[in-house]
Amino acid sequence: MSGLRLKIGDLHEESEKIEKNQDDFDLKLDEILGISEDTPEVDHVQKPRLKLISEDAQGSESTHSGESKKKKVNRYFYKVTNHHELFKIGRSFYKDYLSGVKSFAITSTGYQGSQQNSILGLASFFDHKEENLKIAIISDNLYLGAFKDIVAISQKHYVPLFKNGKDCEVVGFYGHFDFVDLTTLLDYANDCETDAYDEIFDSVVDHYDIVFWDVPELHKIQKNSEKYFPVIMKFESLSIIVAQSLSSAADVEEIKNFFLGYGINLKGLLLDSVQAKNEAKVKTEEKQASRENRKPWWRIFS
Amino acid sequence: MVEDIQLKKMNIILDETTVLNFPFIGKLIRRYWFVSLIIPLVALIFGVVKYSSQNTIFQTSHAFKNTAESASSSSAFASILGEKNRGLDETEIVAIANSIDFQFKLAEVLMEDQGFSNLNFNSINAEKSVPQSSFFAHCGSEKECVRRTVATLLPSLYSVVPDKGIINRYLVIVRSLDAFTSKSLLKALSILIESDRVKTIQSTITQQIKLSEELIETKRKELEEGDINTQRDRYKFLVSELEDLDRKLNSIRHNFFVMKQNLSQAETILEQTLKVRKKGVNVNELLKGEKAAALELRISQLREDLNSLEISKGQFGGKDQVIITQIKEEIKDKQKQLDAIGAFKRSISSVSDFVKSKDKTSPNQEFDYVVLKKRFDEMKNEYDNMVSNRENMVKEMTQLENHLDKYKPTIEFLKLLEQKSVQLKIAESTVVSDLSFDTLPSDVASFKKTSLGKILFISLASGIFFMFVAVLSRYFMDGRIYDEYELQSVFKDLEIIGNTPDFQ
Repeated sequence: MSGLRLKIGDLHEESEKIEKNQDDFDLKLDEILGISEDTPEVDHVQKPRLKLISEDAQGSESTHSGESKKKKVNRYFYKVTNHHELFKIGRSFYKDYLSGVKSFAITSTGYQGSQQNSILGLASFFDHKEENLKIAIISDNLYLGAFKDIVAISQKHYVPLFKNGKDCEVVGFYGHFDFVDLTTLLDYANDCETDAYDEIFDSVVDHYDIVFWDVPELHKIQKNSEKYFPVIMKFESLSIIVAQSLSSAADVEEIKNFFLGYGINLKGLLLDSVQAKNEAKVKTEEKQASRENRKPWWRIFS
Repeated sequence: MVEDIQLKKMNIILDETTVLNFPFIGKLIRRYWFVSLIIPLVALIFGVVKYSSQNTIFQTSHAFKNTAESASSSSAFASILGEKNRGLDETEIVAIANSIDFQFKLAEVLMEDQGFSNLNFNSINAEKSVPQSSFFAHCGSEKECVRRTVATLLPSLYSVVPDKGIINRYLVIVRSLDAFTSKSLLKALSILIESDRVKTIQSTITQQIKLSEELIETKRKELEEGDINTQRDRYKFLVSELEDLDRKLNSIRHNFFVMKQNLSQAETILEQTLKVRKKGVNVNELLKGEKAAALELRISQLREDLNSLEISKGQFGGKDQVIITQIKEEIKDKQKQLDAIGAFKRSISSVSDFVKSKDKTSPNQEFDYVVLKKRFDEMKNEYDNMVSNRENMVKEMTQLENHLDKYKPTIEFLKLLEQKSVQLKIAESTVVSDLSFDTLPSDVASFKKTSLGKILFISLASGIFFMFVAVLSRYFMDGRIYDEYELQSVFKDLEIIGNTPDFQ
């Protein structure tokens, strides 16, 4: 069984062992890399909490991991609260994959955390769905948001992507998927000496079975469109995340029109209902914090 | 692009069957709950404030009936005079109290009232109630100015309206900010409307009297110029003379004809007497007549005896029958003898008496006749004179009649005018108002101009309306996407893949 799996049957029982009364869908990481639960500087709004599985569960997982040759079992997992939705969108993307699409871009109206969550979820789905898939997640925010913790417990390794036989440094997460820094690729593509421009992106797409693009914010692309053009041209399917109660229709329309202008195939829209809740939560917490820090009105002179 | 989105949003709100997409609007109300709640709430609070800030109005009313169509004395007189008595119509009645004259009169009546200083002249719509003195501050002690000011303030306090339920019935309604003012004003209005109406009717009749008298004077002059009075008096005199004459004539005529008959009779008697005396009587026929008379007497005596015997039959035994039989036989015998003489011969006996008597009376009859004849001639002369006089009088009367006929229409017209003048004078002194007030006015009711329920309903309805407007405006200004339905509606060309995964 693959290391990063979507646990439905046996994992469900294990989840019950881990947390009572919890029947959520869990994302499990194969191997323990010594990262504790209290990982510092985790953005609680944007990023899900990476959790540590118990020892019993680990033993059980180790048994499963023995079946896998490539991927290792780890003790980290994310609990997916809406696993039904993940399966729903995963099936849709998988259908596209089966029809030959391998480069999926995910964008939004400025909600990078939501993009990363979606990419992480989809990558895990594909990883669970088919073993031995080489999955790449390309983002310019690897050290922020949802990717941050995973990248932190991942190991760097080199992949021969460059034209001159040089290897590109990527971060591999226990053989499940590689995190590629988009900035590195862009720098390389725009390096006059290498004279590569768009070939590097061809190499990335060719090297991996599936590529998930964490599309930068639109204003960044618009500001430097020449730079991003080869990237955009590699998108075979673009999905736009709409943050419920936050994204404006005009912004979505702008993104849509922008990418349609490049002839990119728009797969559809993903609705993010969590973002608004998180923002509301943050606002409440901020208000509470400011209230706590505020002096009582009777101490105005102190 | 923005316009496209607004159009798409508009399409979401509209619905093919129900025009408006009510479920979505409900969703919008829940989404913008603060606006949805605050606007109706503010409207309700505004309504309550508005209600509580309203003045308390004290209303009282007094009903009256327009009796012009029924039998009031003035209308009855007017109808006798042949005038068209239509009375007042609805508009006129309602307008009575709106005339400037009426308002000034009312002001005068109120000013004369002792409670004038306690009256509240503030309009029921006044936002702030001010004391009475401030209304008349600019007048000082000038009464006319006060009257004028009161007259201008009063119209907002009362109205005359038709009673919706009953025909020909009206209500004087007084609304003020004070119960005493309402009562006082209503009382003054009721009295003034009635008296004003009486005066109006009286002035109309007075005018008619004046006109009639002028006309009578004109016609009289016209008749005087034609010496019609003298002639009419003469005619009247002749009429009475003729009546006397006719009466006398009738009396004389009767005596005249009686006397004529007597004279004729006397003349005949005298003539016959003279004939009888000249002719004389036959002796044999006279003897037969005497014998017949003696036989008739004997038969009569025998019959009396027979009757006596028949009555006392049986007292004398069998002798009665013998005597009766003898008497009967004697009666039969005497009757035979009388029948043998014959009837005509009997008159001879009276003729002889008649001749004898005529011999005695003939000188008297001649005298009587002469006297009667003389009296008859005198009476005839008198009778003929009277007939002649009558003919002359009739002739004169005919001439006068012809002359008076020329002036007959004028005379008739004058007669009618005189009648009318009298009747108008009676009507003037007995005129009553055709607007009859009920005995008692209604009680004073206090209320606010607009009821709480009405205000709440209006404020709530307007609040809901503005809430809809605000919610829809907010929706159109709000570019954000709130749910899958909205997302799908705005981006119909794109598929909604699903929700993004969420990690704990």
